[in-house]
Amino acid sequence: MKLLRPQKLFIESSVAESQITKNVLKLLPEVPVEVVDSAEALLSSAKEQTPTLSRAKKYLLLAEHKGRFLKHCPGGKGRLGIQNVCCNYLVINYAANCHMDCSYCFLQSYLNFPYLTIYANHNDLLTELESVFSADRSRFFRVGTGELADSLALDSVTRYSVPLVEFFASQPNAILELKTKTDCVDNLLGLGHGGRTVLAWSVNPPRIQKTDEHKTASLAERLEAARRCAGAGYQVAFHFDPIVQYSGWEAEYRSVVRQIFTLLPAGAVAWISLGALRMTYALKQVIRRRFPKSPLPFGELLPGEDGKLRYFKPVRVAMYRQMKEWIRELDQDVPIYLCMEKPDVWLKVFGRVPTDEPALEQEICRRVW
Amino acid sequence: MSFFAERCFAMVKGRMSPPDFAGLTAVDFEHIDFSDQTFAIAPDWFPVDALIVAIRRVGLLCPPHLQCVGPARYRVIRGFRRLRAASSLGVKRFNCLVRSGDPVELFVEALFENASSRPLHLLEKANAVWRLTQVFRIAQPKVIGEFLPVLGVKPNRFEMNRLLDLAQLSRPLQEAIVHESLQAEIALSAARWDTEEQSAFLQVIQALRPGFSRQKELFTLLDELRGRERNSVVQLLSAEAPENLETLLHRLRSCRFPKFSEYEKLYEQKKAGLRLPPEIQFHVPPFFEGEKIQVGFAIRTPAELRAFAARLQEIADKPELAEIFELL
Repeated sequence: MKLLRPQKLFIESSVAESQITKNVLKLLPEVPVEVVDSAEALLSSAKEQTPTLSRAKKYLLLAEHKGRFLKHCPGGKGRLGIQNVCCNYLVINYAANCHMDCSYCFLQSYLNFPYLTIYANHNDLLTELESVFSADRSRFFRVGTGELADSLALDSVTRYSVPLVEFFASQPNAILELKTKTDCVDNLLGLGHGGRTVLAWSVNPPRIQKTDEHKTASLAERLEAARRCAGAGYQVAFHFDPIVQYSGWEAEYRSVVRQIFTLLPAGAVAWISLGALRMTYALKQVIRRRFPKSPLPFGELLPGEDGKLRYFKPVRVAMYRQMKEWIRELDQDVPIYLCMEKPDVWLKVFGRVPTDEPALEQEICRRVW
Repeated sequence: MSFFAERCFAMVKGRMSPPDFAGLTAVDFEHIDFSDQTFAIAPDWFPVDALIVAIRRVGLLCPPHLQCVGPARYRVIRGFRRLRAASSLGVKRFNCLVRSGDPVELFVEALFENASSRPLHLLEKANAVWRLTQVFRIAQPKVIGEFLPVLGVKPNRFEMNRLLDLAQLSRPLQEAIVHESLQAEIALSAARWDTEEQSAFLQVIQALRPGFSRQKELFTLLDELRGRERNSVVQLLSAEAPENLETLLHRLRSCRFPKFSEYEKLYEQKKAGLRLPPEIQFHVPPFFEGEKIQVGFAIRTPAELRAFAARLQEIADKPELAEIFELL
C-alpha cells in the first residue's frame, strides 16, 4: 500500500502540544509545517478555492475536535427515514478523510473538507469515552473508528491506535473495532489489548482491489496482517463490503472466504459482515468522473426506498445467500450480519430478523464477549 | 482592486485616457477581416435573425468598434453580430469607431459593455472566459474573482471549468444548446463520446424532442450501456428502425437492467393471471424494493364494498398472488 506522505502539515495551535501532534512531527520530519490559530478559519478560506478531492488528500491538518467524538453509526437509519436493521454500532470520528482512494468511497460525496484531518485532542476523546462507558456499566458498547476515515491508514504517523487500544483494554463494557484496508499493524502487535480490540479488514477479491481500491494494501497483505494480529492474540473480523457483482464474482469471492479460513486459526474470526455495493446518485457521478475505468457504476443498480442505488433486490439476496453458504461451509458458528439492509432482505437471507438492536449486537459479539 | 475599478481609478488620476470616441469613420465591409475572432464573445454562427429585422427597420444605430490592423484592413472589436446582420442585408459601407489601444483593455471593455447591456447566452459567457484565459492570458484566480461576477456566474473554479468546457464543445453540440434542443449539462457529458456518437444522439434528440428528464434518462442509458457493453452509441441507436421515444427508452432500459426487466415481465404475467377488474389498482413497490403490495379501489355504497370484498377474496386465493409475493 502507499504510505501517507503529505505535501504540507497544518497544525491548529490548540493541539500543538498533543502527543498525536508530537508523533506526527517526529515521524514526518521532512514535511513543511504551518501552525494556524483556528482550523475553522483555515477551512473556510480553503473552501472558497473549491479544492479537488485529490488535492484534499495531500494536505494534513491536525485539529482540535470541539464537539462530541462518539456518535451512533448512521447505517441503521437510512436516508429519507428508511429503517435498516441496526446493529447498535457507535462510531468515533477521530479523523476525516483518508489518503487511500477507493472509487466507491462515500466520503467523496460527503466530506467537503479540503484537508485530510486528524483530531489530535485524543485526551478529550478518552475522557468522553470514559464518561459514556462508566455512566451505564450494564450496557455493552461496540465502537469503531472507521466511518469517516480508515482506522489505521494514518497510524504509522499518528500512533493514534496506541492510546485507544490501551484505553479499551481497561474497559469492562466496551469493545473497539479498528477497521482498515491497510496492513499497518506494527503499532498494535506489542500492546496489552486485553481482548477488547477487534481488528477488522474490509476485503474484496484482488480484481476489485486493483481496479477500485487504489493505494490500499493487497488482499494478501491484509490477510497476512490479520494473521499477525491473530498471532498477537487479537480477534479479527472481516467486512465483505462492498460486494461487487461481475461475471465470475462467485469463484473470486469464494476464494477470498477460503483464504481467510485457511490462513487464520479456528475461532479467531469474531464476525463477518456482508454489504452489497451501494451509492447515491451523486457518488455515482463522482465515480464516473474520477474513476472512468471503474466498472462499478455499470452494475444493475436501482434506487431503493432511501433513494440510494443498490443491486436489484433478488440479485443481492442471492449474493448474500451464496456468501453465507460459503462461510458456513468453513465455519458453522461465526456471526454473520448484513450492513445497511432492511428487514425483508434479512428475512430472505437468514430466515429471521433480529428482535432488537441489543440482541443483534450480542449476537455479533458473542465470540468476543 | 478590480480590473474595472483599476481602470476607472487610472482614468481619474490621468494615467489612462478615456476611450477615444472622436468621430465616426466610414469603412467598407470588404476591408474587414471577419475571420479575426480575437475579440468575439459570441461564436460566429450565432443566430442574428432578430438583429436583421431590427437593422432592416432602423439601420445600424450603434456604431461598431474596429481596430486597424494594416493598410485598409480592420478587425472587429465590438459589433460582430450587428455587422453580420448588416452584411446579410447587403450593407456595403457603414460608420464605425476606429479604436487603438491595448487589446486586453479593448476586450474587457467590449465584454463589460455587452454584459451590462443585454443578457449573455451561456455559450457567450463560456467563450468570454475562454478568451480571457486562453487568448488574453489573464490568470484564472483573477478571472474567477473579477470577471465571473460580471457575467452573473458564481465565482468559483467549478463554474469556471464548466464554462471552459462549454467553450470547447464541438459545434454541433453547441448549436443544439443554442437551439434549446439539448441541455448544457448533457452536452458536456456527451463531449466524451466520439463525433459519430454525438451526431447519432443529436439526430434522435432532434427527431424525438424529449423533455429534460427523458433526455437525461436517454443519455444516461446510452452512456452506461456504452461504458458497460463497450457498445458505441451509434450501434445502440441503430439497432432498429426509428422508434418513438417510449419504445426506445423501453428497449434501452431492458438492456441496461436485464434482471429487473425480466422481473417486470414476470410480474405483468402474474398480475394478468389475477384477472383484476379495472376498478382495483394493484401496485408493487418501485423496483420491487419492499415487501408490501398496495391495493386500491373506491366505493360509493356498502354494497360495492361487499362486492369488492368478495372479488378480493377470490384474488387472495389465486396462486398467482403468492407468486407475486415471491418476486418481492
